[in-house]
Amino acid sequence: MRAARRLLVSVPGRELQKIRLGSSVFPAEQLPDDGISPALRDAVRLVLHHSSEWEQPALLVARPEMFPGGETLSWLQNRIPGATTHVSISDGSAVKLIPGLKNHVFFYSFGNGLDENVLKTLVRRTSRQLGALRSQWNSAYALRFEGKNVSLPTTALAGCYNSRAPDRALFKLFLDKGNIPNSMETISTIPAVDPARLNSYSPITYVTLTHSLLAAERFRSVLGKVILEHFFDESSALVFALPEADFKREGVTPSLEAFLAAARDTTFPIPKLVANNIFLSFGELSEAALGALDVPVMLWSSDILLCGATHPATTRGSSLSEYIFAAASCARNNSTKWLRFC
Amino acid sequence: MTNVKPALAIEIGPMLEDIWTGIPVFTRRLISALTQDGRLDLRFVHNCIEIPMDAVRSAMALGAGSFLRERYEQLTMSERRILDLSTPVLYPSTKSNLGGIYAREASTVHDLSTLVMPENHVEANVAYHMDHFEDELESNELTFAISQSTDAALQSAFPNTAGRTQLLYQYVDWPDEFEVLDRNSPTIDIGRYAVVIGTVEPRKNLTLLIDALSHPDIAASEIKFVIIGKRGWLVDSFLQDIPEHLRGRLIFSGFVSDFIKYRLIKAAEFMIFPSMYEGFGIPALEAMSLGKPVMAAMTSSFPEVIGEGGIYFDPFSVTEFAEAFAEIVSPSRAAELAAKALKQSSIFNPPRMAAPVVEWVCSG
Amino acid sequence: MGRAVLRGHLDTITVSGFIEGWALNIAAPLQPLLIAILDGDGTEIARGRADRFRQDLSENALSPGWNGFRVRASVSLLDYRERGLSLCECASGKVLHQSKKVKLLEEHDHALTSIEELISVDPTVLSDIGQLRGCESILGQFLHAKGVEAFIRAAYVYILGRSADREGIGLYGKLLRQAALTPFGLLRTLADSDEFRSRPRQLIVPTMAGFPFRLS
Repeated sequence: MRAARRLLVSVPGRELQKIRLGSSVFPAEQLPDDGISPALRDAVRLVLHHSSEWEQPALLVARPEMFPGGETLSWLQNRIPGATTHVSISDGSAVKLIPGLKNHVFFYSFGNGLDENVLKTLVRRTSRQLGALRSQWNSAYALRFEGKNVSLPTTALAGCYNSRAPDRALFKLFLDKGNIPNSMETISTIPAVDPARLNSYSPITYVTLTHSLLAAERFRSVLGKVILEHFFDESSALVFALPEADFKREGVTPSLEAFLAAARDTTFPIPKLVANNIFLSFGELSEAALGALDVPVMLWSSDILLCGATHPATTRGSSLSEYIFAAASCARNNSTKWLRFC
Repeated sequence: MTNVKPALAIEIGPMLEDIWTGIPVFTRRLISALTQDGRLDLRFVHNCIEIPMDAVRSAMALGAGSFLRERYEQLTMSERRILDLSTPVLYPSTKSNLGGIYAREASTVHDLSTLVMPENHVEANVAYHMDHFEDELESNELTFAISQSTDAALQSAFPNTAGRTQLLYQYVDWPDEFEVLDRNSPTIDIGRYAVVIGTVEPRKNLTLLIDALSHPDIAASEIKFVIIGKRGWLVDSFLQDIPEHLRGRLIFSGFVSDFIKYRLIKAAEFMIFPSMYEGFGIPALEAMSLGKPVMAAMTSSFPEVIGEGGIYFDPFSVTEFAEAFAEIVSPSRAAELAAKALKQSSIFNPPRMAAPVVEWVCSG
Repeated sequence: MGRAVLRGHLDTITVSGFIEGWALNIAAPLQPLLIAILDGDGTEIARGRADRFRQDLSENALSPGWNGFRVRASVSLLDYRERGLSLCECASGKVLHQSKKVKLLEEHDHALTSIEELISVDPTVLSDIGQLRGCESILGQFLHAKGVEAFIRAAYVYILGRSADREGIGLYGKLLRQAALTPFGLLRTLADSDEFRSRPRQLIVPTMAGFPFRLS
């Protein structure tokens, strides 16, 4: 298959409001990190990595909506020679389309305070617009509106996973359901653990968390069950990657507090003990750290958990992007419940 | 035998506002254009109740909706008549959730900013415009778009409107007396200046001008920038970024009457319109009707409205802004553009606004 | 509207090139006349509307005060002082006044050098509510024709930009019927209110289309 020629990227307008751009169209790699959310930064990085083998480097179009047709679209087309494909990196509040191109959407992290209800509302308002998209990148949402499927196949990105995540220590879980502050205090006093120590457990279940996931009732029931199971099987390990601090929330403490509150609210009893095999990481572990493990790591992400998948993908040192594709396939093949927006 | 004119009812909801700007003025112009055209039997409706013609005509003469609103609210029960279902109804703006009642309905889409730039709107406003929008389009026999740009965006987001849209271009109508009032008023002497349409609201993109002030070519120019409209409390934080010696180049007019706006535009050298997104851009047409070229962002509806009567720039590029500025201040180019601006403005007129509406009504 | 009764006068010319005077139709004083100034050969040298406020006119029973004019001549006026000028009403062509000796004012052109100054001389909005004092009889005619309540409602909308409340209609209706308050007095009262002072609005002059108290 002939390589695609050039990728255009667009991002949510609200993410650009703090940035002084010098042009409507510029190399996507020049989008400054300062002023955009960490989630968007990671999404852009992933997209650039995915398109790094294309014929020409990716360009970012600041506001595609400014060029809906006619002379403005011609002006844009003169500045994007060779462009064949456009991906709208979207927070769910809007999806941008560029006429004449193959348009895709990347619903980037629904953690960090971004509400999945926003996407539901968008689908309700403009379902036919989404039908014009070629695929969704790195997600497997099934969109239904008034009984009709909005078919959006998944494109898995061959990308890096959080390549700039620092080495992180792990903290052991302790939960006193009646006293969250005491729980947080206790966790902070227990010595941190090197991720390499995970090699002494098998298998490892690694769960990446988002704020909206922690708020989802369905997930809370899963959370309690899986924590309790690991108290009874100390040979396996359970690692939770707490949501990273985002541009709305300062510091990491709110993430820990949100996690402990979600665990507290499950219907399952959680022993008031320091768990020697249940760990917390303040942010995602780096791919290198995961890749260095010799034992199987089962990876769950928020999309798959909300889909109710019971068979998360298993990987041993492979890249997270491959996992996402595998997990999406798993979920489909196992006829799991899809997230429905109607 | 007298020919019976086909009837058309216009929903006058927008005209109930106290102060008329934007959509109420669009509605007034639409009614004037159709009245001048004369081929339709015009009626007026609000929430299915027929509104007496004299009340609407009075409101148009006054240029405000307060009395019209009072008249509507004071209609006695015996005076209230439901508009016949067979009468075609034209909504000069969104139908919101009022539509799908009459046999033939058309509404008007001004822009899709609540869809494509939701970050610039409060959610309640987005919901008001978008929650019933697909239903509205479905229930329309025809959807009018106020520009090709809006039409393109509409069809992109709602493909099933293809073949069921029509352009509805408005026009500028300064009061007749403004010209003679201006001629007999004291001369304006605040130096050379350009009028600027913009606020610190992100979509209006005034920050581009503020950034451009420091560009060597613009800093060296004597031209000032008169920004028409309320200053707004956010302006001061933007002005802090400007070197003090350049701050004086920006003059905020504050709220001004239509006549003062007319005078300011007439005495200016040109207009600057850096907005990222407009449904039509009536201020550009206002400037061109007074023979003033427009320096505009290359976005949305500007090229189709301004045509060769202006110069365009990338809305995010200070360099392109400065290049456009250098071109428009050159005397020979300015004279050439002024003539083209005046000519371009003349293609937007009452008959052009009336024609597609009459065509729609008569096609039924 | 009855037959037009036109009156007018050329008052002064200025060294800065303006011609001043007044002109009105007594039968419809708020309908501004379009006037022209002709030279001795009948050539038009200036044109404009007789719609400027003049305090002296407002104190004259003949005019509500809004019938002055100040028009810019297209030629130098210094030669015309002795040669004579004519004031004409454009619609009818009627000559309202001819003068061979129009008074010359040593007033030099004063250009507007700031936005504030430009706004302060806006001829389409009132600079003070007192400028409507001379319109008392016209306001009274509106009240008489449309009724007290209609007048109060119009006054609220004009001054405060909102519908009249029941209390206001009750209170001011009683005062107007008892002649304890004149129609202009109501406008002044509303303009002096805390509500108006806290949210002042531009009030359109009586010779513009948006003035709600004109009967025709």
